[in-house]
Parts: sequence; C-alpha cells; structure tokens
Amino acid sequence: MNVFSEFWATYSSVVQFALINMLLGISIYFTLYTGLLSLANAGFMGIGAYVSAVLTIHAGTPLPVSLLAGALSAALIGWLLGLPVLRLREIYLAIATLGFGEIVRITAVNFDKFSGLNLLGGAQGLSGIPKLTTPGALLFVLIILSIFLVQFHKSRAGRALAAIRRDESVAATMGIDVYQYKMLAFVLGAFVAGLAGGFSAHLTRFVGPTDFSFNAAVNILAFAVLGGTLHWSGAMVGAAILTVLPEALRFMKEYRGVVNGVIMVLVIIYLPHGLINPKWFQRVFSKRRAQ
Amino acid sequence: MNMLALKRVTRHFGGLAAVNEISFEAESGQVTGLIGPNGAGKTTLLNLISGLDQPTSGEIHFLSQPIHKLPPHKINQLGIARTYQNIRLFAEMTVLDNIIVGMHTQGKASLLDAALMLPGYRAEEKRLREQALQLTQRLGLEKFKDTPADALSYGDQRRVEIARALATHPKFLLLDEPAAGMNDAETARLGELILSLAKEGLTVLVIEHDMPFIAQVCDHVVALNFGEVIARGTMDEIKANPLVVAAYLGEEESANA
Repeated sequence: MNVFSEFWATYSSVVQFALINMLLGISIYFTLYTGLLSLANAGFMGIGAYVSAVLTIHAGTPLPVSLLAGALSAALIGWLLGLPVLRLREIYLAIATLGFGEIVRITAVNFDKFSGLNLLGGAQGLSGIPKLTTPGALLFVLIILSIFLVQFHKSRAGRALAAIRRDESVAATMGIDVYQYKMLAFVLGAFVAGLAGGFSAHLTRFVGPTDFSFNAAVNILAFAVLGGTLHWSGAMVGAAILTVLPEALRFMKEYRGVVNGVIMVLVIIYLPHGLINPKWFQRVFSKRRAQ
Repeated sequence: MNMLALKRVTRHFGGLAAVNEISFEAESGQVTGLIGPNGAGKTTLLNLISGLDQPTSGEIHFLSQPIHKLPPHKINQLGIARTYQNIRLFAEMTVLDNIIVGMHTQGKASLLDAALMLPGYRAEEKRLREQALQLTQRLGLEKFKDTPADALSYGDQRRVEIARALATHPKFLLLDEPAAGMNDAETARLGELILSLAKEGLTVLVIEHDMPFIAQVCDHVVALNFGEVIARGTMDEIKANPLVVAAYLGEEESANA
C-alpha cells in the first residue's frame, strides 16, 4: 500500500492528464468516425475551460454544474460553427476548423479589453481556479462515455455515421440526412471536448489563451493517429500512451521527443489504421474457435 | 398512372449536354428499360432522378410532385431507391449491416433511446434485423449474411445492393446495370426477381446492356443516344427501330435500314 501511495503522490497528476486526454480522444473520435477531419476540438476545449472556470470563480457553482455549462457552451458554439463549415469536405474542413482555434485564442486575449469586464484575464490567462477535478470524477465520466460509445455504435445514428464515413452519397440515397448527422457528430465531439476543457481548468488551476491553439489541435489528432479510429477505444489508448510516454521516458531527457516522433512514424508506416484494430480481435477469436 | 415523369430534362457539363431535353414517363407497376450505348446519358439520368445531381433545366415529377430540387435523402424518403453501376457497398460492413443501414428511415429510435437501452429501442433493433434477414433470404444471400460485403463475388455484391435498396421500402427502384458481371444463371434469377417485385407492385427503371435480359423483364423500353431519346416502345418495336440499330451498330447499318 505504501508503494502505491508513493506512486500516486508522484504520478496522480499524470494519470489525471491522461484521463483528460482520453476524453479528448473520444471527442475527436466522433468526428473521425463520421469521416470528418475536424481540428476544432482544441478550441472547444478552450471554450469549456473558460466558461466552467469563470462560473466556478464568479458564481461559485459546484464542479458538475460548471463542467456541464462549459460542455454545453462548447456544443452550442460547435453547432454555430458547424452550420457553415460542415458544408466543406476533407482538407478544407480541416483548414476551416484549424482557423477556429485561432478565433478562440484571439477572443480570449481580447475579451476583457472589449467587454470592459474582468473575466478571462487576457493574454495572462485565468488563474486561481479552485482545484476541483478528482481522478474519481474523471473516471466516472470516462466510463459513462465508454458505455455510451458502445451503445452508440449499435444504434441507428451510429450506423448512419459509419455509412457517411464510407460513402456519403450512397448514405444520402438510403434516406440518411447527411448534413444533420455530420452536425450530430460535430456537436457531440464539441460537447466532450468542452468537458475535457473544464476538467483541465479545474486540475491545472489555470487557463491560458495559447493552451488551445495549433499545438493542442495537432496533439489531439495525434491521439487518433496513434490509436486508430477503427475502434472506439483507439483514440483513448493513443491519448493514454502519448501522455504517459514522455513521463516514462524522463531518463532520456531532451531525446524524449525523438522517441515520440519515431513511434508515430513507425505506426503510420506499419499500422496505418493505428494500434487498435478490431480485425485483430476477430482474428484472435476465430483462431481460438478453430482450435 | 405514371409514377415518374421527366419533362424536358437537361443536364449540361460545361458545353456538353449529357442529357438533352429528355421527356418520358415510367408507368406505375411496370418495368421500364433504359438502353443506349456507353455515354448516352443513362447513368446521368439516374443521378438526376435520385437527387445526386440536379438538372440544368427541366422538371422531374414523382407521384405528381416535383423532386428535381430535393436533396437525395428526401427523394429516398418519398420512395425512390437505387443501385450503382460501379458497386458502392459499405465494403467492410457485413451483408446484413449493409442492409440494416438501408433501413435507416424505418427506425425511429433516437440516440438517447439507444444510449439508455430503452425497451422500445431494443424491440426496434430486433424488428429491423428480422426484416433484413428476410431480405437476405429473398435474394439468396442468407449464407453470406455475416460476410463482409467486399469478400463476395461480383454478382452477389450486386444482389446485396438490390437488397439494400429494397430495405428502404421503395415504391420505385432504379437499377443501374444490375446484371453486369453476373453469369447466365444469375442473370436469369435476377430477371425472375425483378418480375416478382413488379408483380408485387414495385415500379422499376432498369439500365442494362444485356438485351435478352431487357426483353425478359421490361414492359416498356426507352432508348437513348447522345443524351436524347431516340426511341421508345416495346422491345420488339425498339429492336426494329432504325435509329436504335444505327446507335448500336453504326452509321452504315442505318443507311441500309
């Protein structure tokens, strides 16, 4: 027990960062599963972080209320953003959504100056947020979302999204309202990213405008690239690995980043569908059955 | 009563009129054949009817309602389903899952029903699955129901496409070269299937190059060339039409005819 508590004292924040990143993995999974390459999730995370932190600080709301408000705000902005950008496809959607992260950053920096309020802390960021995030709360949300994801795949909506990813014209001629379902995936992703932002703000006790721009957007995408999107757990596994790995490789000092890079390159070359591929489970199971 | 009416439908791609002022009707409960050489505009016409493409001018009416400005999912919901010349199944999905995707509009369960595993959702899933199984039986696909669609032979994949289109409960079925890649036995069975569907009241528009097949299944044939209707009538009338003969066999024949 002593060993465990020592470990926990050292690594509890790494574990919580990993759990938050797993939430972000889920958020990008929704869009990638639908075939949408959206890089807006970092921006949605920022919205969730700012809204929930402001509520906790100024209105003294409990964590669940702040989180939910942050996530709903992100979902609402997601819907507004989706109205124009979901008419774009492929790389054009990626470019438009990448721009969204920049809009969030610039808004956060200038909000106080223009509104005359003292809410977001401008370029300095917002500090002094109470530390309310707990591993238990994170784990609870992750488990709920995982159950939701499993059910989601078996549902009518999940099948519609899968069909859209594979061939959206055909999906449309099957009576599926492609635009509506893309919006559903986009807004669900925004909601979950907003939740992750709220958890992050109440863990690091700080929200800064630069936390949610280009780097963050690419990192979230890296979770999905490493873990894959063929299975709902892929991006979560990718997120866990990419969060824990730099800590585990601390002895390598400044070469840690190289290892990360090498792993990514190897995965892209040899496992283009990512680490988690449902076909392998099937193969293992069918082998067992054959024996 | 005509189910589908095309009125001077035109589709330009740049300076080329792929479909030029085409007008014809498909009678309710009949099988209409659409024939013509490659590039005659047959598939373009199917894309216009199913809403994947919009006409430059002209009107398309389905059950007396204009549909040429509707998006494809609305057109499907009105009762038009189609298959594709270049098979477009959801490749890694199983045959049954492909068909269940086609049943999208028959389900009502929301995401919330599914997330909470409400009894209504489970009953609906069971019902859709049973209907999909019935369709696999009808099309002789039951032994492939759990096979990924891309592992099937060409002819079997074409039948899955038909099953998936039928899953949307259409009143009007568009088939784009359904017999391509099938052997004679498969083609004959496909012909029987289409005739039995028509007997049950389904209206069918079928594009095909296989003339004996067209003769077997079609009540009425429309022949296209260079984006225009060159002949229409029964298969015997079409076969005797000099313009059709010219389109298929070349100018010299038409000069002699």
